[in-house]
Amino acid sequence: MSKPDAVRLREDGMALLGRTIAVHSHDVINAFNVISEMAGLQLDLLQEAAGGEPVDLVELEKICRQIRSYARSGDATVRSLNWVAHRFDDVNPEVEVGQTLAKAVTAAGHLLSVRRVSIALEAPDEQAFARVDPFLLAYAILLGLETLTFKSPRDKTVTVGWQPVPQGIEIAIESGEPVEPPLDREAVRARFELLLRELGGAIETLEGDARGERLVLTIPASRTPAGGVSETGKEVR
Amino acid sequence: MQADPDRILLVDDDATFLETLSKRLQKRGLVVECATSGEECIAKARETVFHVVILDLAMPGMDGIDTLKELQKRCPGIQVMLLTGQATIQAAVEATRLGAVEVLEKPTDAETLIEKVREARTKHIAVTETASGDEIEEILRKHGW
Repeated sequence: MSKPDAVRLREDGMALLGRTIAVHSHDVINAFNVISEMAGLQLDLLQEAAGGEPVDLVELEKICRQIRSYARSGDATVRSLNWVAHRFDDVNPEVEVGQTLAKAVTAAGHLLSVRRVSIALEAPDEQAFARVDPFLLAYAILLGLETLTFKSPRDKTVTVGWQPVPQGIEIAIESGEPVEPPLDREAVRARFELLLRELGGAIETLEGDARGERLVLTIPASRTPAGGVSETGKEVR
Repeated sequence: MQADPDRILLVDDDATFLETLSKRLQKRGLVVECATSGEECIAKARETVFHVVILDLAMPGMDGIDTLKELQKRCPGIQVMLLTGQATIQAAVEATRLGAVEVLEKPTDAETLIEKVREARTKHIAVTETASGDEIEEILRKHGW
């Protein structure tokens, strides 16, 4: 890859990382705000009780459960952000595809939360490993999801799935409806090709019709789901 | 309790936040209705007269700024405050330029929020009275009275 391409890829990746951090931190702030309001409501109830009113134990219990639920949600958001941030400096060349997709989909769920999009993950119940740059793989998935949900209609569902194929591992990102405004195929293809050259993969299709849009990328597997070694793998573990 | 309590419309996409804050404000004598989206807010504001609308900024679909624009168009004179977890200087400037009377950052103390609601309501009364006076003058002028 030429130096300008590499710089552009890193710059694009940094911009996406910035947006991801902004959205995750907003979700954490939201969790803190709700917890703060609930603590305020608890104080109101306690002050009423101190003033002689009966203690509403059912309400207090409900608030405690909600506080715990929001604390867990905030914790999960921070963990998701932490995962994304560490992909930038991750030097491990082998990634477990299913787990990486699941984490990337969680991060994308935060990133796309204001777009009324739900993301479904469809993956086989098995493990497969790929020898790719983990940041670039996460970046490709986030970019694909962001592209296919741009100006999406309300309650759109996008599906992310993977399956082993003879060439390696095929990752498909599909939108059930067309992208509005129409996808700029050449620009998107150029960005993905740049990414995939670095990932060592290839775009098999970038197609659209009246029903929807589909991005498919195939990356070389280092280990097959059955535990064997693929022909494209460079090392046996 | 006041004879004519402050009627507010709280708008936020987080239903738990809405439920909690509305309970706290109701305990302090306000009449509170809730909406979980900009679209629902517009529909409710057209059906019912609210003294103040308290809007979240980041919401799926119609965001706080879009909702504010629609409210100003469809419900002239309505007083709108923004209560947001991601207040930026640009958003605050934009909201103020569009007529928001206040931009508050979450979490805001309930007493402070009520104080701001009362200030906004005073403006609502002034705006409504001016508008009514203008309408009366127009009727008198039309009929040559």
